[in-house]
Amino acid sequence: MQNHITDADWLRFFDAPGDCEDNQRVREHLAGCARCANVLESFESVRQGLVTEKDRIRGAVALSDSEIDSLLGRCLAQIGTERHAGWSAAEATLLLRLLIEPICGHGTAGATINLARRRSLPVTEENLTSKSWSIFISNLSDAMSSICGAAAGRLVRRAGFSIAVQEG
Amino acid sequence: MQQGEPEAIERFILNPCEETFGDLFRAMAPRLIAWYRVRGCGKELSEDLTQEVMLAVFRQAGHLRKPELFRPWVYRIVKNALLQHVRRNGRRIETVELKTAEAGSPAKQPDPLLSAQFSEWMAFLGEDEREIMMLRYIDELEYHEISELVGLPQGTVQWKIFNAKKKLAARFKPRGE
Repeated sequence: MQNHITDADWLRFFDAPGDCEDNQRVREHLAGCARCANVLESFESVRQGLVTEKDRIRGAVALSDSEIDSLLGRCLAQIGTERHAGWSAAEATLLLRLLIEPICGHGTAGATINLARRRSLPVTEENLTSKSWSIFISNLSDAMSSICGAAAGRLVRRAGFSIAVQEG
Repeated sequence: MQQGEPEAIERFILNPCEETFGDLFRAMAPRLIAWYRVRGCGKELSEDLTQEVMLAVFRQAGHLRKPELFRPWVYRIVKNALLQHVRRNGRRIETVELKTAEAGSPAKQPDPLLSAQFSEWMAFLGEDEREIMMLRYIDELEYHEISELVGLPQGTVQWKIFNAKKKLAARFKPRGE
C-alpha cells in the first residue's frame, strides 16, 4: 500500500476484522507509517472511551435482582388482570346456555347453540373465537326468535353482545 | 448484547407465555431502563416506561416471528413510549424536551449520568450521528438492527458510525499529540 489508508480500508478493517488480503495490506502499511498508526491510535482511543462509558452507565443504572423481580411482578400482575377482563368463547357460550335453558329447555338450548355455532364458523374452524362471536350471536338470536319468540331473540342478542369475549 | 438475551428472545417468540416473558424481562428490562436514563429520564419514570414497553411486547408478541427483527421492534416501542409520555406530560417533564424525544436523542442539559468526556463527545456530533452512536455503543445494537430502527440502509449506518468516530478521533486525539 503506497498511499495512506483510505476511509473504505478503515471501515473494512474495523467492521470486518480478519485475515483477508485487504486487511493484511492495512496491517503491513500500519507497521511502516507513523501517520496512519496515529490515526489508528485515535480510533482506538475513541472506541475504548465508548466502551468504558457504556460499562460505567450500565453500572450506574443497574438494578438489583430484587428490584427487577419487583418490576416483573407488577408486569405479571397487570397481565393477570387483563386476562380476567373477558370470558373465553367457551365460557361465554356456557353463560348464554344458562340464560336460554330456562326458556326453551335443556335439549333445545343445546341443539340451537350447536346449530348457530355451525352456521357461524368457516368449515376449517371448530371453535368459536372473538372474531366469530358477533355472527354467532346474530345466528343464535335469529334461531331463538323463531323457536321461542322475538323477545327471547332480543334477550339473547342483548346478553350476547354485552359479554366481553377474549381475543384468541 | 446481554448474556442470555438472544436465547430469551428466541424462547419468547416461539412460546410467548408468562414463563418465557419472565426470562425476557430479566434480560431486557435493565437495558431498556438504561436507554431511558441515558436520555434524561429519572429512575421512576424509566422503570414505569420500561414496564409499559414490556407489557406492549407481551400483548403484541404474536405479531412477530423473526428473532432478528425483535430488538429493533422493541426499541421502536421504547422510543414511541417516551414520545407519547412527553406529549401527555410535556409541561411537567423537565428533563426531556419534545423535540429531543422526537429525535430520540439525549437531553440537551448536562446529564449527571454521563461523564464529562462523553457529554463533550456527544455534543460535538450532529443529532442523527449522536443517536446512531448511542444505539451502537451504549445500547449495543447491531448494524442491521440500527438500520431497521432508523430506516436507513445498513451500509449508510456503518458509514455514519465510521464518520462519527473519525470526527471524534480527529477532534479528541489521545493526549501527548
